[in-house]
Amino acid sequence: MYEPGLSIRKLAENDVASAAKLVARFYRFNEEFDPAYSTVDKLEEAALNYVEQALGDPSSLILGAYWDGKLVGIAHVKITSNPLLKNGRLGLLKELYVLPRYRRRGIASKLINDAKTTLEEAGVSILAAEFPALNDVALSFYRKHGFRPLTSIFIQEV
Amino acid sequence: MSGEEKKTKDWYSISVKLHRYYGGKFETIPKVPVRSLQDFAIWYTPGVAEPSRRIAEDPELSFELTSRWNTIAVVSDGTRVLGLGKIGPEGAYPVMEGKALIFKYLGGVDAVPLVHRARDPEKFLELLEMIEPSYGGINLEDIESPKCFHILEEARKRLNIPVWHDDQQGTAAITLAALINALKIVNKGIKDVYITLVGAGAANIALYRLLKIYGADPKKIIVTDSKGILHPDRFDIDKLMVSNRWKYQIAIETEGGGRRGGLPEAIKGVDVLIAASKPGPGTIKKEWVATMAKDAIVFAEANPVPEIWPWEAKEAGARIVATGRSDFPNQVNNSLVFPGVFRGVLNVRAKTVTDEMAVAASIEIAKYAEELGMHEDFIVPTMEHWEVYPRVATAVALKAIEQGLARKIMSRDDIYHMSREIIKSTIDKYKLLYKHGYIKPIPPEVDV
Repeated sequence: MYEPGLSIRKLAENDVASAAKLVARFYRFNEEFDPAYSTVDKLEEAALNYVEQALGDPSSLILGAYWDGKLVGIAHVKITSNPLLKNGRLGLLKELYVLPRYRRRGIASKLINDAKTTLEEAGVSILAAEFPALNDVALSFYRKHGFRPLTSIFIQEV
Repeated sequence: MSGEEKKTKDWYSISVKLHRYYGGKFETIPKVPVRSLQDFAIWYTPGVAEPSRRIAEDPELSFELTSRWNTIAVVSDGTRVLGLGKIGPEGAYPVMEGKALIFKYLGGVDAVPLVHRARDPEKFLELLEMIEPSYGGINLEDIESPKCFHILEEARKRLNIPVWHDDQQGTAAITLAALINALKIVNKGIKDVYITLVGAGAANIALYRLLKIYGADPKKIIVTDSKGILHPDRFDIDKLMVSNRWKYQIAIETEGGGRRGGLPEAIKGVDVLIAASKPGPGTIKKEWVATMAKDAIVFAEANPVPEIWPWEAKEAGARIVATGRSDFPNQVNNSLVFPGVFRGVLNVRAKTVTDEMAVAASIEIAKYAEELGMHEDFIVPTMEHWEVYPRVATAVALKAIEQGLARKIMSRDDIYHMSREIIKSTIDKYKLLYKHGYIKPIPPEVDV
């Protein structure tokens, strides 16, 4: 279906391959911040499996940003829950990516807003985002969008 | 060894001999009368306590009661000195002294070399903030890219005096001046032309900003770096967002002018080629220039050897050619810009120096060359035309007033006459000192 300008909707089955490319680019970019983010050899193939699985997973939400009908951005949110916490259900933004040439048009902001609306409808009250600690671009992006630090994950090689 | 190389070598040896003979290029001389030692009671204690007290009450008075209004620092961490690279602060010192000499001689500006070890950008910025009270302006010099963009951007925000990075704005402003006149000669409009910038370092990234202000269409600008055309689909584009957000922004805004590939693809069919990249010859190939549009404009600004020799560019069909060298026509020389720019901002005690002021300088330089009788081999004035300095000063100061960034409002005439007077009296003073032997003549055994 053709829509002029921007539209955000759940990812369509037949856009899995294009979505996988965006996911691969997201990981390739984050790779440089920490060796723990090193990607596998056949990243594109792995990304395809990953997106297919997520699409079939009821606790995952994948939103696609379409520009003139073409997929140019994605947001993948995974809902997790901790039964011990009052607000234990949390939507974790695992991947957020917009193709460079479509940036600076507010597409990522729109993806986040639409994700929030969908989560709210599902009774989830928190949206979280995951990114490498040294990714300053992501850090300032999320701060600008009103996010605050919640959990820290520290790692060491074993 | 070619004739060119020999000539450069001779300058090197003469320069070392003379730097040693004079022990550097600067000293300070007070400018107030000392009729007898009693006068120290005016200039120093007890009298000086009152100017100090008044300035403490109103720090802005430091621009009236001290030399601050006419004094700038020439600041470098020595991380990218001339073509020599990271040679450190001490190594940068002679260059800063040379710059200070030109500031004084051509702009009547008292400039003080300040080389330092604060390589970390945050420390560098802290240093600038801490020394701000001493100066009416800061000229940044010879700082590596992309750190220099961050430092300039931040310093402009944090400091209340003009901060200028000459390798960015100075070079960009004189290049824009040359382009303005070149376009007049070939009768093409800035909005219509396709412009390729070869090299994405300090000069061209600043030039990109100035071109947009002057009215160029970003979608008709193509910028290349060592990996080819900057465009949004480039393999390293996401990495650039972090490592060099200035290149990233250019890639996104220009969309590579709709092109992909390397230099041949970037140059084909364009009207203007401006290279500020690696020294040539052969960085830009003749056959690429041959593919440019009719009445092509080629600026090859690398030193000491331009990216393409001017005669090669002409043989390939370029109509107007400029280089960074004084021994060829059309020298794109930032010394035509910075003395006048600082004369202007200091005269009106500007709080900052903007890219719009740099563009005002470019327009004025171009206009002056046009009045002198521009033609294909004369698109910018030379340093001999010293009228250019008060004129640039006036254009820049008026722009500062227009932008609401001047502490002192003055008329066009007053700015011009003040600038002219300061510059002329500096040169006169200097000549007099030389005539009377207080500046020693060059010793006869050094063959200049």
